Amino acid sequence: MNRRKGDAMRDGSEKEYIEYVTARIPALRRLAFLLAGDDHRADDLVQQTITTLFLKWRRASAAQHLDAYVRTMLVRSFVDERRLSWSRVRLFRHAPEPPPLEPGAVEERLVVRAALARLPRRQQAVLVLRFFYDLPVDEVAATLGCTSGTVKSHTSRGLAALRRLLGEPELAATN
Amino acid sequence: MPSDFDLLRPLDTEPRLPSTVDIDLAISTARRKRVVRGATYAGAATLTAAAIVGGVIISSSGPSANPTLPAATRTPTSTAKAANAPVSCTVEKLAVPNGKPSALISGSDPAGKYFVGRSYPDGGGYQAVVWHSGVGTEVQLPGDSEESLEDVNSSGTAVGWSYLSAGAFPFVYRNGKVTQLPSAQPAQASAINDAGAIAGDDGVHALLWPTASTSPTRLSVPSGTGTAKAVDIDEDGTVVGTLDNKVPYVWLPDGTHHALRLPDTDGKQFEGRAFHIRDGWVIGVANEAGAKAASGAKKAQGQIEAIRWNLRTGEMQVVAQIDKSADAVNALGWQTGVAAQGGAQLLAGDKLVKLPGLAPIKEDSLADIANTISDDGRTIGGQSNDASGTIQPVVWHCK
Repeated sequence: MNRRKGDAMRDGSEKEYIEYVTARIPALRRLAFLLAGDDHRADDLVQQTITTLFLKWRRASAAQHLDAYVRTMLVRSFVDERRLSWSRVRLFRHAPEPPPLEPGAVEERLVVRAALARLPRRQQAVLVLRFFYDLPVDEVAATLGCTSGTVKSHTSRGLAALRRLLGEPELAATN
Repeated sequence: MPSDFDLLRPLDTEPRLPSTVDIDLAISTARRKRVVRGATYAGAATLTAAAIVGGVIISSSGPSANPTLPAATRTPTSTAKAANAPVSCTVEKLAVPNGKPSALISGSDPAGKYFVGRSYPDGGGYQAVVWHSGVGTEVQLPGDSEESLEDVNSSGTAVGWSYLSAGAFPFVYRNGKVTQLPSAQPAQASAINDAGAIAGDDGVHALLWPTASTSPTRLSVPSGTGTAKAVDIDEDGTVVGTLDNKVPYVWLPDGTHHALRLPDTDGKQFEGRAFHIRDGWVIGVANEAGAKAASGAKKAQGQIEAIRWNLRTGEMQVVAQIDKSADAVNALGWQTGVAAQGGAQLLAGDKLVKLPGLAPIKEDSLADIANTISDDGRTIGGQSNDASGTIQPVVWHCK
């Protein structure tokens, strides 16, 4: 690549960006896969996230908790389909809905995935962040940009809906 | 009984396929966005008013036409009427009912009198909204999670969906009354015409409700089709949609149905999706079908084309002036979409008209989206980010 000498600083921060992203891609793919439930959509989410991250790198790299900052970018892209730029033409807006639930299906993981995909996207994100990432309520709230109370109600509603879809007895609503 | 934590444990946590995430691509895409944005701002100073009148770039795509040729070399044979194309448009922010901070417009009637969409309450979730004569009213759909109204017809009858405990279900709103559409399982209603026929899908089948009170019929598809989705319905009952997320498809009132033509350059395979129909004009997008491993983001790299089909002539046109998007179409064949440098625009015949947003576009090239257009092309509805980056419902008035 052709770079002028004056771009030395930019090269430095670009190197930092590449090092950071290279190290984080496996973790970001796991999170995206848990959310999207599909390899291609997961990779698209990560690709979109790291593209935006490059644009915002100066501000982002100064963030106190960079991992949380990037996770927030990814989760918000997943939750708000209207903002994920090219998803409009390719991914979520016109992606097929989840397959119908088949209670007799042998693969439990597929049944749970199909059930989760039936929930509104925000509830999916709350359940994944709380129960897979063990994030506290206030951190999930910060990630999604809502109140702790909303996270709690998404959690109880999401769990109740999951249990219903999976044919489990419902617990009394716990808030 | 499994604990809350155990409930989700069976989920796969690891992607099965090798990563297709591409750091170099992320950097080059980001750079291109930055450069294009810079150019826009520099150029804006030399432009007076909001009118950007582009050259004729719509191209006819005959059987041998090459959609990858530079657009300017193609012969313009657009049959969309350019007469009376507006020269400029102004943006008006609509008030969101009950002081909700944010909302968007997703559908309108053909005259642009009614708008429907959703607001975003502070507490999370979505709230369905109808605007009439500029005044918004919340529509209480059952369920207290996510919901939205997608389309509305000339008499103000709107259709949409709301999440209940078993998934999203379709609803119709008419004369102040909400009714659930008949459906045996979760489904979504996407569009309604003036006769009251409704198009939608249940995740597997494309559905047509002849009226709001009759059970839906599953629209026929070729054998081997996995999923079919109907997304819009014309006044004569013609339905458009997509099979398996890659074959743009049309169901005609006489019961016949067929795929819409796609570019067929150099023997390359194309995939496409149809999004809207109005008076025989269909708009959608197409992209070259890549290797299976290529992610959508890679496929999208400059390869997604906006497409307009004319059902009367069977003609297919690659619309070069609009960047990968097909947001709304009217009876004149005019359409809205997103400009390559971001921002919403109207393509009226061969004239390109900028739709100015509430604030300058920053990182989000989708800050402004024109989701509806009236048949006279004078009233356009959609969304625009305000200076704080909050999505607001807007109407563009063009003259």
